[in-house]
Amino acid sequence: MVWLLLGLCCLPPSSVDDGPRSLDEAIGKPPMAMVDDPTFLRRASIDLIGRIPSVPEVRTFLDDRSPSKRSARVESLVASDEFADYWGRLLAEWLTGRRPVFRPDADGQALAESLARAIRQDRSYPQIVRDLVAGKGASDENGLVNYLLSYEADPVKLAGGLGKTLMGTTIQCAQCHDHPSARWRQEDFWGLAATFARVRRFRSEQDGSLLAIHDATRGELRRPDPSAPAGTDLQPTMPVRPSLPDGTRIAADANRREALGDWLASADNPYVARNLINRAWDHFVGKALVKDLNDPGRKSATTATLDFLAADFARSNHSIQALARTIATSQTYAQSPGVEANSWDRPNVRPIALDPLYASIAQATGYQADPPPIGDDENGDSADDETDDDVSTTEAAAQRTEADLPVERLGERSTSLQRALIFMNGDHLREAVRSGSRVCQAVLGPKIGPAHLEWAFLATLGRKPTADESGRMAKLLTMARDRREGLEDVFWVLLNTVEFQTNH
Amino acid sequence: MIHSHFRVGRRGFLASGLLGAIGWALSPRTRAMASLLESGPSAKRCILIWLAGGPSHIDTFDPKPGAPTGGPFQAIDAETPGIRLVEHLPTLAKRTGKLAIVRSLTSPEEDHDRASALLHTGQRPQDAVAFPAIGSVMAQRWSADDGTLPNYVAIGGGGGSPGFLGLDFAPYVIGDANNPFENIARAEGVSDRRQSRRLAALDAFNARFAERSHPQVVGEFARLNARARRLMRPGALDALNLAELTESESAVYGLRKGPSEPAEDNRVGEFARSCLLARRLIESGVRFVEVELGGWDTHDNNFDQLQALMGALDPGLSGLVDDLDSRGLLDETLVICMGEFGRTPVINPQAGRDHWGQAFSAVLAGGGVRGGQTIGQTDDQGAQVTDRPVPIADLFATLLQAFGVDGSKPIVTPEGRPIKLVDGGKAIDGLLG
Repeated sequence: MVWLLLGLCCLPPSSVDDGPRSLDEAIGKPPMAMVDDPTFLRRASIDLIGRIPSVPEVRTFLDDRSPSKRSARVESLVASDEFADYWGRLLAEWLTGRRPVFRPDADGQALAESLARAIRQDRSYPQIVRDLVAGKGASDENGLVNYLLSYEADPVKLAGGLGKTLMGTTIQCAQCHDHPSARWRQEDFWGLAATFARVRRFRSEQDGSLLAIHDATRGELRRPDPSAPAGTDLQPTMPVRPSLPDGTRIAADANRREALGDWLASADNPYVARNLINRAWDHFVGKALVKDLNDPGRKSATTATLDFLAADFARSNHSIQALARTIATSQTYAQSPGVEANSWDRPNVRPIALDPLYASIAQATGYQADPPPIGDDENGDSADDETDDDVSTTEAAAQRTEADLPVERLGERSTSLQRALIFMNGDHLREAVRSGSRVCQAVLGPKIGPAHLEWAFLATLGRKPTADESGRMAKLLTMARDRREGLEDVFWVLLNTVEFQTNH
Repeated sequence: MIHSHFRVGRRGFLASGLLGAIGWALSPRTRAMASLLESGPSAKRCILIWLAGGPSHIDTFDPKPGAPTGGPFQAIDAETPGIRLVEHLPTLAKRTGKLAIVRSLTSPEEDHDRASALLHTGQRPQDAVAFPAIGSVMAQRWSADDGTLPNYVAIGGGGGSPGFLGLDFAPYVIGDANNPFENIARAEGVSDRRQSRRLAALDAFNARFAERSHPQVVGEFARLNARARRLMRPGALDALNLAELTESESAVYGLRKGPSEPAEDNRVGEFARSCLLARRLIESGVRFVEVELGGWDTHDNNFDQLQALMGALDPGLSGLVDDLDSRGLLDETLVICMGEFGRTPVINPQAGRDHWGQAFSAVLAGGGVRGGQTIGQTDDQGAQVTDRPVPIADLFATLLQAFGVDGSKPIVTPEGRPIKLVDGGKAIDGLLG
C-alpha cells in the first residue's frame, strides 16, 4: 500500500517483527486527505516551536522541490532551540497544571528553562522525571525544584498532582475513598503522599524571595484515622508508612524521594513514558489517546498506537525530540482535519492556546508585547509594576484573568467573548496592526501594491492569497483614506480570521 | 458618538453576511440540548453569590455558641422566630422571612477545585464527562434569547465551566463591576465606515474558511463575534454604567451616588457594587449572574477574617434581596448564597478552621423559594448532619426544578455518552413554595 510505504520512508525502521512497523500501521487506517505544504508548515511550526512560520521560512519551504522536505523541516524544527524552549514551557505547564510564569511561591519560568535545557541536551525523559521528584537545592540553582514548590512541597498535593501529571491516573480520588474502578486504594494514595513527608521548603536568609527544597531527617505524615468516630473535638490521625504506587514498602533507611524517583524512572514503569506520549498526542492531534492510563479500555487501535509509541520512545532512549519527530513525520499527522469533531486519529481544528497565539501575533507583525506576567492577586502588588504603555491596564487585566486560570479551564475556554473583543478593539491588536503594516513597508518599500498583500498573507496565514482574496483585499486598500491605513486594515482582517486564530 | 447609519449598516450585514453564512453550522451541542424539556419554571433568572474558599458554616448561618469549638461569635435572634444567625449578620437577620437556610448540605469533596466543580454542576468531577455548570445550563436553556448581553455572567471570579455544552455557554467574566465590559469602543482612529469595511471583509474570509474547514469551530468563533458586535452597538451597555446611581440604589446598598462623594470601604463597596450590577444585568435580560466574594479559605485567623467578610456579605446580600423585591424581580429571580464546603469544628493552632464537607449551609431566596425556614440540622458542634441531610445532587435537583429543567431526563453529550444532569438527586421537600 502506498501510504504504508510513505510512512516507512519517513520513520526509523523498527526492529520489532511482530508489532506494527510504523505509527501509521499501528493506527491501522489508511490516512485520508493530506494537507497542502503551507498548511503543513504552519501546523508543524505551531506544534513544535509554538509560533507560526516567518515569511522567509514559508517562502523557502514552498520553493523547496525536495520530496522529503516535510520530514527535513520537522527534523530541523525539532533540533532548534525554539523547540526546546517551547516544549520546556509545555512540559512545565503539563506538570504543574499552570502557565509557567514566575510566582512568588514557585518560579514556573525557571522550571520551564531547566526543562528546556534538558530537552536541548536530549536527556532521557524518565531521568528528567527522577530529578523532578528527587531534586533538592535552591530554586535558582536547580530550577527543577520549582516542580515540588508548585505543589507547596505538600505531600497530599504532591501525591495528587504527581498521580495526575506524571502518571496520568486519578490516584487523588483515593485520598478519601478506594477508587471506584478498584485499582487505587486509599493506602496507595497515602503511601505515595508519605514519600514526601520529609520534604521541606526553606526561604533563603539573604534573599527572602528565594526558596529551596531539602529533606528533613525525621517526620511522618499523619492521615485522618478512618476507624475513629467522627465529629469529635480533635480529629484522630494515624501515621502513614511510605510506599510506592505499586504497593512496595520503602525501606526505613532509604531516601524516600530517590526510591520513588527510581521507580518512576525504571524501564518497566507503566505510567511515566506513556503519560507523556498521551499528552503529546493530545498536543498534536487535539485529543488524547486514553483518558486514564489505569483504565485504558480494551485492546483497540488507540492502545495499539500507545503501545507502538511507547516501544518507539524506549528505543530512542526516551528522547522527547524523537517522540515529537515520530509523530510529526507520520502520515497520520499530515492529514487534513476530519469532519467529525474530536477525532483521535487525525489532527482537529482547534483554537491556538494563549502563549503560541501571542507569539504568532509577534511573529506576524513584529509587535513584541508578551501577555502580561501574572501578579499575585491576593497581594495586589500590580500598582508597583511597570505597566507597558502600549497595553491598557484593563486589557492587561482581562488577559491576566484568562491567563491565570488553571490550564484545564483555559483549555475549555481557549477562546472567549473577551478575546473576541480584545482582537477587534483592543490596544494590543491596534499596535500589532500598525507594526505589521510598518514592517511590511520596510521590507517591500512604501509604495503599497500586490506584493505587500501577498506578504501580509504569508506573514499571518502562512500561504499566498487566492486571486479572489487578493481582489477583496485590494478593495480594502483602495477604499481606505490612504494605502498605509488600508494595509493596516488588511492586517486587522487577517489577524481576526478564524484561519489565523486556529491550528488547522 | 451615536451614528444611526452605522447601527443600521452593522445590523444589515450581521443578518445577511455573518449569520447567513454560519447559520447552517448550528452547533450539534445546541441541537443535542435543544430538547431539554421545559416545565413552567418558577425561577426564570438566578443570582449565585459564590463564597469562594469555603465559608465556615459555624461562624455564619449555623451558629454553635457555647460549644467548645463554637468560637467567640455570639448568635442573635433573627426576624423569624426560632432562627438564629451569627451576630455579624444583623441585616440579613432582619430578612429571614424571605430566606430559606439549608443547614444540612453534605458533600464528599474537600479539595477546592473538585468541591467547587461539584457545587457548580451538581456532579462530582470525573474525567469521562465534563459536566456543565448550572449557569451554563441556564444559558443553554434560554439560548433562544437573542439578547445583547451574554446569558451567563460571572463578576469578580471565573464562574463555572460550560463543560460539554461548549464555549457558547461559558460565562462572560467581569473583573471590575465599575468597568464591566472592556474593549467595547473601537480602537482609536477607526471610524464607523472603516470598521464596517473591516468587518465585512472578515465575514467574507470566515465564510470561505468555513467552507473548506471545520464548520463547527468556525461557527463557535462566529457566534462569539456576533455577540461581541451586539455589545459594541452604541448604547447597548448604558444601563450597566455604575458611575451614577439612583437615590434608591445608593440607599439600598449603602453606596455613594457619584464620584463627588467619598469612596466606600474597599471590599464592602466592591461587593455591594457587584450585587447592584448583578441586579442591573438581570433586569437587562441576563439569565444567570454569579458574584464571587472570595477570601473564605480561613486556615488561619478565622474569626478576624470572617468578621471582615461578613461586613461585606451582610449589607450586600441584604441590599440585593431588597432591591430585587422592590422592583418586583424577586419572585422570578432565585438567589443562592454558598461556597464549596464548610469548615471544621476543630479550631487549629493558627486560630483557623480547615476544609469540611460533611455538613455546611446554603442560603436561598426568591424564585419560588419559601422563606422563613431552615432545612436540616447539624449536631451541637456543626460536625455532622443530624436531620434531613441534603446531598449536593438534591440541591441541584431542586434548582433545576425551579428553573423548569428536568435534570433526570437522559441527555446525550456531544461525545455520544448518555448522562443525566443530576444523578439520583431528588428535590428538597418544602424548599420551593
